Amino acid sequence: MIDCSAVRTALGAHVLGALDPGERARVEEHLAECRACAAELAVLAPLPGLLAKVTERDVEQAAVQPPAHLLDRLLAEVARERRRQRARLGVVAAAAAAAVAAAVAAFAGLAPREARTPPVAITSPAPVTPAPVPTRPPTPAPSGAPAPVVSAGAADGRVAASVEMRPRANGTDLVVRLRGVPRGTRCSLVAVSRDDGREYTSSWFVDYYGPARYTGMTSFPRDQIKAFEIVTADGRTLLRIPA
Amino acid sequence: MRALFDEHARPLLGYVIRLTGDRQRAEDIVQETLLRAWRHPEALAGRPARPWLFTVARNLVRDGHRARLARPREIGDEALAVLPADDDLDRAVESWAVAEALADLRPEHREVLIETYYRGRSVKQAADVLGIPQGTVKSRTYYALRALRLALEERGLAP
Repeated sequence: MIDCSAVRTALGAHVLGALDPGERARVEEHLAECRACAAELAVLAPLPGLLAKVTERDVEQAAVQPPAHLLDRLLAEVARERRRQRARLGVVAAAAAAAVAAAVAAFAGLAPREARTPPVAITSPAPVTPAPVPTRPPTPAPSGAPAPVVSAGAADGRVAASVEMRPRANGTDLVVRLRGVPRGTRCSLVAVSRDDGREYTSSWFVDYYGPARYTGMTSFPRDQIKAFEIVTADGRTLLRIPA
Repeated sequence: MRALFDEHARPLLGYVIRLTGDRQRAEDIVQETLLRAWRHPEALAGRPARPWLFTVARNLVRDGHRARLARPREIGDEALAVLPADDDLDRAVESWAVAEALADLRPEHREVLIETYYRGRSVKQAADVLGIPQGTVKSRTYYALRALRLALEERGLAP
């Protein structure tokens, strides 16, 4: 005879088919008569089906911890993107600060002397540079508003790109989306200004899976940009995008 | 990002290594996948993250294969658009959760399951290989399966 505790302990090996035939027969005999042990079997019975979904190699692989340098790379990239975001917000904050200062000044001019308060010091995350008076209404888009995008496709229909322009304190941040350039090509994005100045804003290597988008920066203000060109390392212009 | 990494980097890396067989490349793909998740929190809101992450990673792998065939690459955030998880992907996500649950078992529990299930050894053979009594193999196998069941339930995979 075999008791419940011995059966329970053997149930794991039983569902995995690891018991020898003699013990298996004894366990099965007990299970036929003991509802409690049969209920315990029902708990364990689905597990072999799940084990079958993976291989021993998968388990080994799953035990491998991702390397610390991968986290370092990710955190560095996140920090870079945050800095870029702050730089953009800085422009907006600077504009807001200027508006507040103007309001305070206007109020101060009207208010009795004792009501005057010193202008509120607003610290901006980016250096506030006095912007040249824009010939057109304020360039910085409020955060959340879509940045202006220009795009073009080559006549052969293969290469196409778009460039998003985000004004920043001393120039314009660019986000390039590019398609149809053969792998292995080194490309640059050239910004062309209204007075035909040319500036390489970024260059990249179109690799086997590379990022879908590239970022760059030009010192040209948004409203001074006449066009962009995608050029290869050997000087061919793949595409011209009027801005 | 740290939270994303802690929760998902290991299964993603395992999954992509299995797809590519290339650790270096797998790390690059995991990096790009987690960055996209970080840049697009709205894509993950209100749905399980794993299928989305596995989809993005798989598409990056597939784009890479295409590029290796030397066709001009199509670049874009199209990975984000391909969201419905197909059956293959469901299976991959599920099997990876099982592999993870197994990997997270206590070592003595994992090793008895490896011996008895994956290597097809009997209790007696496993006891010989592991140098422990047969009774211990049996009790460990039992507790290993209980622990595995619990771990799977925690991962939302009630057997």
